[in-house]
Amino acid sequence: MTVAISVLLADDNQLVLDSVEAWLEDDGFAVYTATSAEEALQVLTTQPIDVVLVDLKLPDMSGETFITKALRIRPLSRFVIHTGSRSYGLSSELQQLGMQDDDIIYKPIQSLKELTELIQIKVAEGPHQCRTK
Amino acid sequence: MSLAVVTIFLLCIILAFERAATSRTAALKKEIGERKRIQEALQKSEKHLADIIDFLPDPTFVINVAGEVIAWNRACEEITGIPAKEMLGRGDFEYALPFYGRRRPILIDAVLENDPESILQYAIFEQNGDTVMAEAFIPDFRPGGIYLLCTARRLYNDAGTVIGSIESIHDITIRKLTEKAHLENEKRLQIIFDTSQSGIVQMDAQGTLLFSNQRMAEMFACPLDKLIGTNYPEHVHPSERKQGIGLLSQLVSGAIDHIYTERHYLRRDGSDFWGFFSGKRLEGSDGELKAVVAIITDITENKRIQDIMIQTEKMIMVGGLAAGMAHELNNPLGGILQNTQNIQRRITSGLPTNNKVAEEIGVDFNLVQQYLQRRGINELLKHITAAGTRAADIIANMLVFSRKWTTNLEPTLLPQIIDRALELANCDYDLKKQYDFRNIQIVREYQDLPPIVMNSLEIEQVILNIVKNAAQAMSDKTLTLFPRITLRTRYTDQYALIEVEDNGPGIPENVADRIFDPFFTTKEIGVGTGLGLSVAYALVVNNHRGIIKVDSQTGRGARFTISLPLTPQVSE
Repeated sequence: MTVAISVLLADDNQLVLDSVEAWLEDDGFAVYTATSAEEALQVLTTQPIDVVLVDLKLPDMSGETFITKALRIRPLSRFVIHTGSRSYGLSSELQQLGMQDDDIIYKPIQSLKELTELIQIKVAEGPHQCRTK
Repeated sequence: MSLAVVTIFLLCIILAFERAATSRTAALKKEIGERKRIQEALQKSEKHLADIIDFLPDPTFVINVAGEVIAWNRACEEITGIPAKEMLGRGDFEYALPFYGRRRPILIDAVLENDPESILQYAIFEQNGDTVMAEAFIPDFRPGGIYLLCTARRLYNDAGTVIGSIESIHDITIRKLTEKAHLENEKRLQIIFDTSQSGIVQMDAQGTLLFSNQRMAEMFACPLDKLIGTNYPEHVHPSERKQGIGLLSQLVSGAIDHIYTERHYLRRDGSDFWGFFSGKRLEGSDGELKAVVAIITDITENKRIQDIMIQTEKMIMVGGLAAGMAHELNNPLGGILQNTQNIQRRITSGLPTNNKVAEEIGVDFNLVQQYLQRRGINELLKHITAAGTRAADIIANMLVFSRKWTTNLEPTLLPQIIDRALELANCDYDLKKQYDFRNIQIVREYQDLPPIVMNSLEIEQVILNIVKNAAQAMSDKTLTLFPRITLRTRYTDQYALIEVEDNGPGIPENVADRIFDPFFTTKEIGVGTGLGLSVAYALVVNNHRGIIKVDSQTGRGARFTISLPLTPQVSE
């Protein structure tokens, strides 16, 4: 028996959490949810999370700050940014941390199948390489 | 001979002498009397002549062959301030003194010579028989100088001998200065005509162009000699011609005394421009209309900037709203769209959990599917997806308006992104529903262009939106029998141009200036969002500092031209 890929969803909108959770559970992922950054960081300390799907606008901090904090807790975690903003571009800090434009998925998710594939790719890629000079 | 004879002889001689002497004295006396009479007559005649000369309104004076002044009239006294009694009888060019300040020969002297012109140099010199005319300017005569028209001629006696000359002078300073001012005015006008950045025309009551400056000819793209004689209204864009003629006839009739208006013009090469027309009546002294004089300034660029400002304003407003709305709407839309996907997957066999639960409660998936099919529930779910997607697209499009610059600039070959946009149009779901894109003939006319720096996804979106719009416009087969879209690339010195031209029904005039407005649509409710072209506008104008414009005539297709700066514009 293979260990399920664990995914943490961080979003303050319950409707979004529930719908994505249902889909990913159906796909056999172990899904954890959090409605704030603090709660999500808490989950990260207790659970071995493989991939975090994070909303850019969390009530207590920005998704970008969350990622830098989360990486200190779980340096091997991978992140997918979930945003409604089409003009969002990765900050140079996140780019330095190895994130790419492909790691952004836009709200609303028109194809959850693609999200599943993205998570699988991220896991298959292995822990992302911190690009340091 | 006897002494007596001698004496008598002598006496006779003496007597004869005496007699002769007496008769000589008498003759002399007679002659003197005669002379005196003549002299008196002459003096009387001279006095008479002097009186006439004195009476002449122009300064007039006379000299004798010795150069002595023998007449100096009142007008001479007035203009020179020298009374006749001081001047009469004076010679040695005394009369030149009050004019020139020095003794010198003047026209009255010159006329006594055989070749008067060789004596003195005058700007204008005319000889008519004995009479000589010349113009002189004497700068020091009075402040500002004086212009004189001098006329002189010789005087003869009965025997035809020259006895002197007469000169009459006429002050023409006012006329000369007026002429000079007139000439300067004319030169000034000429400079204004030649250097004006506006077209200047003069037309008659029928609108026939009588005069035009070079600039006007350039603006109308018509050689100057061909422009003269044409009718003004034929240069006005057909859409405004009637209006233009109406206003002009009011000016001609005098109902209004000026026209200040924006006017749409047609060039000879078929292109158009916007002008500002300022026209006024040119009236004769009787108040009758002589002509209409008008200045036409090209305001196309101002208008374009103004239009951009208005358009940008509208978009920023929509964009501002959109940014706030997007966050609030995307989450519920996520709930709708994502849960629809969950439902669609959970009502089919395939997922282990589905099969497990179905088995537990004894449900046959085939029957469930049959039921869902017959009740149209699968279709209903697709409708939810379609509606949700549409709403999400509207929000995504509106968000475009809130941006003023684009990122991700990269050198791109235009043909590549045009072809990609065409591929996307080919598999566009909305388009397929009403129209098969493959029925449209696609013509590609690509001019070789170097890569242009742009956000290729955005420009691809622009082309896709325009192409979709064209395809939709041509979907009515009764209006467009052989639909065709021509895609062209070319460049000017500043811009790379993409043209998307269709042969559809064209854009009606009354909507042409609204097609880039957000939410403006001529399609049925629910078919178009009214965002396609406004998004194209925002992406080109706001994000790329380019130009997007449309040329269209009802029934004759539409041509969109996208101009992208060859040198990418950097945000401040």
